[in-house]
Amino acid sequence: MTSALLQVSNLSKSYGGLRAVADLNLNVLPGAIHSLIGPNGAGKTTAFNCIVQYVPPSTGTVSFAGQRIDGARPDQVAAVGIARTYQNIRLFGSMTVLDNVLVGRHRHLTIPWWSSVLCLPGAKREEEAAKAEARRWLDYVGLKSVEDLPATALAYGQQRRLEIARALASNPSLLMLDEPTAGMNPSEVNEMIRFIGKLREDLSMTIVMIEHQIRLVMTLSDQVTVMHHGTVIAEGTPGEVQRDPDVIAAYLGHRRGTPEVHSAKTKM
Amino acid sequence: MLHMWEMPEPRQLAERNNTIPVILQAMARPMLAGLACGLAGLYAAFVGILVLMHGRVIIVDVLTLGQCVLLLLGLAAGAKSRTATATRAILPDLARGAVAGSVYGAALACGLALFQIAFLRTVLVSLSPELRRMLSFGLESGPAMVTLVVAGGALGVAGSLWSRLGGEQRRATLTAATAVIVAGTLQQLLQTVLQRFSFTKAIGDLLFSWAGLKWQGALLVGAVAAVVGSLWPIAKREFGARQPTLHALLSDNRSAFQLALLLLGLSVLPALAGPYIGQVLLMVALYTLMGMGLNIEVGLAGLLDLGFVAFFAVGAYATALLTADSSVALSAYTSIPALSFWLAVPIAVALSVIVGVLFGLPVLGVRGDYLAVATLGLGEIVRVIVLSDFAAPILNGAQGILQVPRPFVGSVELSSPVSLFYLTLVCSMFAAFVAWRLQASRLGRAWMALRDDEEVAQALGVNLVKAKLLAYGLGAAFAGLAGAIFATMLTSVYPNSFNLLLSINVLALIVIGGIGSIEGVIVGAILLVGLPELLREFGEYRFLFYGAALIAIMIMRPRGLWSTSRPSGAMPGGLR
Repeated sequence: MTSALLQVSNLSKSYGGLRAVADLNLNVLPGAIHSLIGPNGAGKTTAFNCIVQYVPPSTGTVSFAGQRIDGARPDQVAAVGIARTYQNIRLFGSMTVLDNVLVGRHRHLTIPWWSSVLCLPGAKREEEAAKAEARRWLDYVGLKSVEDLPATALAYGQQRRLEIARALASNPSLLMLDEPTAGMNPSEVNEMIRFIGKLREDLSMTIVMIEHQIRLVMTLSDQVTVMHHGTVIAEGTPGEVQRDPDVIAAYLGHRRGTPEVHSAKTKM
Repeated sequence: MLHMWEMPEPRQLAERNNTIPVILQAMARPMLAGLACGLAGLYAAFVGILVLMHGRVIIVDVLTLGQCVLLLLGLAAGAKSRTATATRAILPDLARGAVAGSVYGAALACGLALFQIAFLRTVLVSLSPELRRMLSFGLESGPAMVTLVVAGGALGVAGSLWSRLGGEQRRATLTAATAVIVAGTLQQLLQTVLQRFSFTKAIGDLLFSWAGLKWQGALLVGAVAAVVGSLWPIAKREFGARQPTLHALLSDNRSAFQLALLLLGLSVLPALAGPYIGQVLLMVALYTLMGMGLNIEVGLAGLLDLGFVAFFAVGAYATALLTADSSVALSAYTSIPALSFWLAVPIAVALSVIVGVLFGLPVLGVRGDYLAVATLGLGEIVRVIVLSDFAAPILNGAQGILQVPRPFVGSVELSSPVSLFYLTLVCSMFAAFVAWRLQASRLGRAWMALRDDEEVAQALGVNLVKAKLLAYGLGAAFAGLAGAIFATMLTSVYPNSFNLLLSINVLALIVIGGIGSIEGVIVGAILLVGLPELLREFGEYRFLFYGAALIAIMIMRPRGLWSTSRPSGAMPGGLR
């Protein structure tokens, strides 16, 4: 077995008496698309936030490329090469589309602030290179023509793509997408499926995503982890997970008369 | 935004309730417009500002600034009496104008009636004989009240006629009126400039007497302004057709050219207008410098800082302690020699930066409204320390530090306000340059990203601690520089110069000019610092003016007078 790019061990997060995530274990292989699914309130986004240290986990460890990142600052997590998007799109509303992507380039820019002030040639060169790179990503997601618009002026689907471009601009080794199709209509979902497939082909990007669109999950995922009430109830390839009785019970409930399955017990 | 006169359409009201006579409903809006203007006029009268304005002559023996305000309010009542959807038939329009104007006049007449009630005179000290004379045209109360209503009605009719004019004519008349009022109000300033050269002296003598504009002068100024105002768009179009490349160049770099013109004007004016204007502009430049600093904190990084005065105080005290020729200066009791201004400035700025960073440390995790309150407290701490007995052996408490020398260039002492103005101007331009370069750099983007969404910015690799401390440090550096100049300008420092109002002044000028906008800082400083200095007699109403200006800006141009080309004028946390 190849070593995992992202390894989450026994991660838990409690809010008072509530265990939002309990003993989560996750191994994401390089180049894989790993989906995290589960009914609303299953703890998927909390798990996401704990992995990128947006909220500190209560217990457990998170390793990225062999390096522990639990307890790190969010900007340090970004520095090792993890970028994410958000369930409710979070762009920098007062900045232009191009500037949004340039913020994504932030961690690759090294010129100190005073040399920008002094107009040193190095600063200018780096700024031009950063702009070219940012435009390349905008082109990649099909937003090149709107680079001077304010980010908030874009249509919903465009804002999603801009958020992904901003994440990609930081050249991450791991991209974490929190419900990339939230609020999209069927044709936009199809477009997103093609887009994520293209990401994998073009960039062999490792992707962890939370998703509700079963069609997208089943088409693209190499691995699926199913959460329910904070715990993992199933893990495997899309096909395996689809047939798992616990998963069916969690999503659809279970027939009267059938014995209680283990997922229901964890509710307590 | 909801204006008082944005009432439901009369027709809609009529459908809702048929019992009210239609004619009365149609007059609801004019009456409200008249009432609003009347209340504005009465307010100006009762706080006493109207009488003061009456003292400033616009056109000799014809018109004072106070009368101008009353006239304009009457015209505004008439102009606002129409709904946008009402028919353009002339007679109903005039009737609406007349009603609005009469209501306005009646409101003023009510104000006049208050003079009859003796005990009010003791409560409202502004009900002075001058105010009575002004409102009554020297007539007895009865006839005066009738005159007010009739004259108000006439003004309302004029206002409604004006609002029927085409856009271009309206613009031309507005330009003419503004030009006359500005020329009249600023006649002392303009006269001083015009009197300096023989060929402009003739123009000055033609337009002005020493009390105000002559009536011929007023006509001339108005006519020229109207002609220039209406020809300007045509000239621009012509120019665009004849010189397309030059025109494109100018419009592409429009704000740069406007800024250059503004700076050119600022730098030539004091040389032409002499020491008094030099002093006024020195204050403008000093506040511009501070504004540039605070603009980095508030405008770019979104850190609402009400303790900004602390950095200014540190710069001023450090300069004073290092350079002063007095028993409390460092040179008096340590082996440090008294430094020259130029050597003391870098030290003062460095100290301000250190204080800025120390200031930023405890409030790193504090945002928005909470940050405003926390910085308010930190700013007060500095003032309290300066005044305390604990620091008195070094800072000399309330007595302050005297005999701070002026800067020397070679053997020339920069003692005149004009020379200090140029020093400050250079410093503010430097600050503007730094701010401008940073805006489009990695750091500037990191600041703006933090301002918009702290968490996302961090998740993209922005180091929150570093970026915020840099914002506080750089802001403090410019404030410290301003403080150093302030100390040498007054040749002394007192703790009472460094109070909360200074922070608020600087913040207000940024908000009025346009948060995050470099040009806006200059415009804000001219309006909030320069104008009140020129109109000295209104000094006690300075904060009334600030408040009114802030409210007006927030309603009419929430992004400030000269806002950035950036998408939306994002307000930093506390000002949302």
